[in-house]
Amino acid sequence: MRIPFHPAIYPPAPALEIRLINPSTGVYSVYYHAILDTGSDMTMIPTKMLTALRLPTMRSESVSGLWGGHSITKVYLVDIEVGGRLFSGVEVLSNPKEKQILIGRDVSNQLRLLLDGPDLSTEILTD
Amino acid sequence: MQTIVMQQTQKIQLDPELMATLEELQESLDDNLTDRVNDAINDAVTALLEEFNDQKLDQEQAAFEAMHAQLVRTHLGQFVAIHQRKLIDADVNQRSLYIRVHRNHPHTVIGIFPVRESSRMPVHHHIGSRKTNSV
Repeated sequence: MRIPFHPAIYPPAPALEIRLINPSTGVYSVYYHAILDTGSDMTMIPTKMLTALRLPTMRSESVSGLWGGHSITKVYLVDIEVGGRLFSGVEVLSNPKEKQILIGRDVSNQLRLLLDGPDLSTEILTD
Repeated sequence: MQTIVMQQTQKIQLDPELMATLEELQESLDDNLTDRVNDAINDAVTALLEEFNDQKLDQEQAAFEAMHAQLVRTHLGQFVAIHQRKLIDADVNQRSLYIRVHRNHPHTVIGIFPVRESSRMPVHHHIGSRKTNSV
């Protein structure tokens, strides 16, 4: 299945359809169009999406940005469904200012992906 | 008036003056004020709970740092759960630990920390720099 690049970003960014699941309760979210961010080592999720699933925080950790500044953010644990695959117990960072999910290399490195630039689409390849 | 009893003696309740004002206003306005007041109360309490949770998380993080040297000797390579400044559980599998501790405390923030040699917070790199499409 091909997923169109995210249209809200310019130039358009590779994206995946994902669903978040609370590991304790099994409550799941709607499907989100999440941006692939190969510059991030961890997946980052808007705080509102995490609190909507009533996920309790686990701890705080430090994140460094493009210009080297550090900020403290909260870490949550979620199960993530991507393309029919379930990633259990993924540590994710919360971001109160961001509106989009940014899929980091913690998840994307476990997938075989075809980023088709001219077609502006992403495809999860099966073995 | 709906109240919540906490620890037998303390009650959460709306100020009687506010309640009287609301009742008077309700007689003058066509709009149903109850839903709007409930929404406002829930929003305010949600924000306050977030503050309390942050406070509790800071407390558990400080407790973890204080007991770090001991934990390195007893739980190196494991995840530990800290609640009310005490070690309550540990596991090599973070998800199993998370599910177990939140079964008993579904809404409470419980600090879950990896026990590494260093107690210093790891730094994650987030390079994403994006422009929103204005079209």
